[in-house]
This record gives sequence, structure tokens and C-alpha cells, in this order.
Amino acid sequence: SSTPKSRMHAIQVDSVQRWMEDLRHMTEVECMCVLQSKPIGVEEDGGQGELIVSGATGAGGDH
Amino acid sequence: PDDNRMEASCLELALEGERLCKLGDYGGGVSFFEAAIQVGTEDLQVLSAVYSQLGNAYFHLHDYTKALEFHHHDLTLTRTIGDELGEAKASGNLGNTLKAMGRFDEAVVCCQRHLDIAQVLNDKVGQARALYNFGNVYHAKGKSVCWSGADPGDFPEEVMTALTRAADYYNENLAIVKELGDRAAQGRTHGNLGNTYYLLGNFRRAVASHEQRLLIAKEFGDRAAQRRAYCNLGNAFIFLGEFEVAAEHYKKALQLARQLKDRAVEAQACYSLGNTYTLLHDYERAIDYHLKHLIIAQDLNDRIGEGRACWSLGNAHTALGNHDQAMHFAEKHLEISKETGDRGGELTARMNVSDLQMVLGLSYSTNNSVLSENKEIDYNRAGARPRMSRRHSMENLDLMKLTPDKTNGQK
Repeated sequence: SSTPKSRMHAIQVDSVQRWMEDLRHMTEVECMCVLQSKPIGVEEDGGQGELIVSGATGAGGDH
Repeated sequence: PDDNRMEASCLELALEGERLCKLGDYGGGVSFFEAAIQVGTEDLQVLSAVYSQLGNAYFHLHDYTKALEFHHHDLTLTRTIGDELGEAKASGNLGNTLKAMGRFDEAVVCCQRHLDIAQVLNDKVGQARALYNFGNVYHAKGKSVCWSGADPGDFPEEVMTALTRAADYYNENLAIVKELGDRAAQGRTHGNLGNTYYLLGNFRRAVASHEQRLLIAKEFGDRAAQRRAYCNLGNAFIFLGEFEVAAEHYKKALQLARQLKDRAVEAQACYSLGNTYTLLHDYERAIDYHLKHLIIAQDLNDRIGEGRACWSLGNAHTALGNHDQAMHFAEKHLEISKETGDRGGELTARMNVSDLQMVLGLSYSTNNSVLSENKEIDYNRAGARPRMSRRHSMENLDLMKLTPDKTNGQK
């Protein structure tokens, strides 16, 4: 294990390891905020249950 | 007669606010709703709706303090007039706002109230929503602790408890939305459940959930959701050690990112593929994908991503014995990490440059004893290398572009 080649191998896994550490926390999320609205106008589709699905990106970065 | 005019005016203002919000003009909507409140109304149902919509508009504007204020007004009002359905909605919205503010324990109380009312009213749709919100609160709680410095793969008890709860609530939600036949809701829940299992380290279950999510995304022709599913599947297969399968999923994600013309996501997929092919010891392919990543990072002026690409390219060329090429990228990595103030990256790059100088020097010499002497010193140095700040998560790609290090300042 003292050959230059194995030593170089030890270095090259470094960036992959770093990537995997990050990857362990990475998730591509669905919409995490479902707000419900209370319509004022008379809705033809009886919108009493209307939902506002807020986008996955928002300030604070966790929803 | 004055009263009638007042009512008409308040309602008109509120309707205009509602119209503007529907068009996505939340700032304009807020002005009209505030004006409607100034005028005032005797109709408490209208007032409740104005409070609620105002809260939602502020939420969209990311003004959570204001959102909290108005959802709280709505909650108080609905309780006063005994409007249970209205109270359930207000609780749900308040819970979402508290979650966004990181006040998870208070958010849980709101979710519970929402759920209790929905159960009393035997409102299945409401129950499903409350359970979904519940899952989201625990999911966010778990992740907020993950990000605040815990080691990967070694999450604290608190995180595991929160994520396990999230999974339980998502599963309860899933049972109801299946009963209701709501495929879109099922898709969302499968996706969130998959992510929760992934964070819990249960990669087999994560795969099963994301496969369900993918299936539903295909049914709807939702390419963005398909892209997310392929990416999540790729990540899970990496931790299952199935690198070939991971690469196939990342390739699908890459294809969709290109179709959707999302350059940042395309770059991320290339970066993942480069790393996956490195794990497969296919360095030529790794170099190909890391170069693709590099080009996009340069196009997008993402210096941190560019540094990452150079680091990876240097390593891949080193693995192939292309020491001259490796040196070129190691030097670029050093230059960029100095520029971006990445101290860890700078030290790594310095070490790589000096190692490569030594190897390049040695190739003209046959004296191997020099190498074995220096080796020990360098390994010690590698062990003492400072731990670099970890990226928080890739989930808000819009916010973090290529390399989430940019968001390290958050939280």
C-alpha cells in the first residue's frame, strides 16, 4: 500500500466522499405547504374547499 | 343607507383583493384586503375570509410574521362565531405558517386541532389534509435538526423520532387519499414518504415510495415530478451500493432536466453521474460528466460549482495517471477556492498540487524512498484536514443553484 498508485487512489475518493456526505441530506421535495383558502366571491365550482398549494421553495429553505 | 354602502364597499375591495391574488399579484391583493378591513364589515364570514386570504397572501410574500397575525385573527374570529369548519382551516393555515417559521411544537398543536375538528365533522378530506400537514411539520422538524450540524448517517435521536412520526402521519394520510381516489395527493405523499425513509436511512422503502411517486407522475405527464423521482431514486440506489442502477436513474433525470431546460438541475445530474462513474471506477465517463458539469457551472457563473468540478476532474485524471491534466485542474481548484474563500477546499487543493508536484518530479527519478518518507506526513495532514462546511440540502434548487454551499449562511 505504499505504491504511488494506491496513495493517489486514497486522494481521489475524497471528492466523492464529500459528495456522498452532501447526498445523504439531499431530497427533492414535493410541495410542503398546503394552505386552504376561504373564497369571498361566489364560485361556480363551489370553491369552499379550494386549496392553495404553495411552491416547494420558500424563504428559510425548509418547505 | 350608510351601512349598506359600507358593506358594498368592503366586499368590493375584498373581491378585488381576491381577484389580484388569483392572478398572483399578492402585493396588490394585500393592499385591497387591508383597505377592506379599514372600511369594516358586519358580515363576519366575509371578515374571516379576508383575514384568511390576507394571511395566505402574506405567506406567499414570505412575510410570515404578518401571515401569522392574520391567520391568528381568523382563528380567534371563527372560534368566537362557532364556525368549526372555518376554525379547522384557520388552524391548518396557522400551522403551516408556524412550520415555516421553525416553530414546530406550536405548529403540531394547530395540526392536532385541525385533525380533531375534521374527525368530529367526519370530514375525510379535512382529515387527509391535517395528516399531510402533520407529516410535513415533523418532516421539516427532522430536517431542521439534520442541517444544524449532525453527522450524516448518525442523526440524533430527536431527528429519528421526528422523521418516524412524519412517516406515520404520511402513511395515515395515504390510507385516506387512496380511499378518496385522489391520485395527485397520493403522488405528493409518496414523494414525501420516500424522502422521509431516505433521511431515516431506510433506502429500500425509499425506493418503493419513489417508484410509486414516479408511476403517478407519469400518469399525469408531470415531467418535473418525474425528474424529482428519478433523482431521488438515483440517490437511494447510491446508498444501496447499486451504482449501475443509480446511474440509469440519474441519466433519466438528466434527460428530463434538459427537456425542462433547467440548467442548474442538469448540472447537478451531471455532477452526480460523474461521481457515480467514479464509484464504478469508470474514470473516462466520470471525466465526461464532470466536464459537462464544469461547462454549465461556468455558463451560470457558479464559481463554487466550478471549483467542485475542478476538484473532481483533478481526482479522476489522477486516477487515470494523467498527472499533467490532474495538475491543471488542481491548480484551478486552488485558484477558485482562494477566490471563494473556501478554506477547506484551498487546503485540499494545496495538498493535491504538492502531491502531484511530487509525483511529476518522481517520474523523472527512480528514488522511491523519498515517496515513502513523505507519504506518512501527508496522510497525517489529510487526517487533520479541516472538515468543510456541508451543504444543507439540495431540495431548494432554485435557491441554491448548483452548489448549496451558497446557502450555508442560512439558519
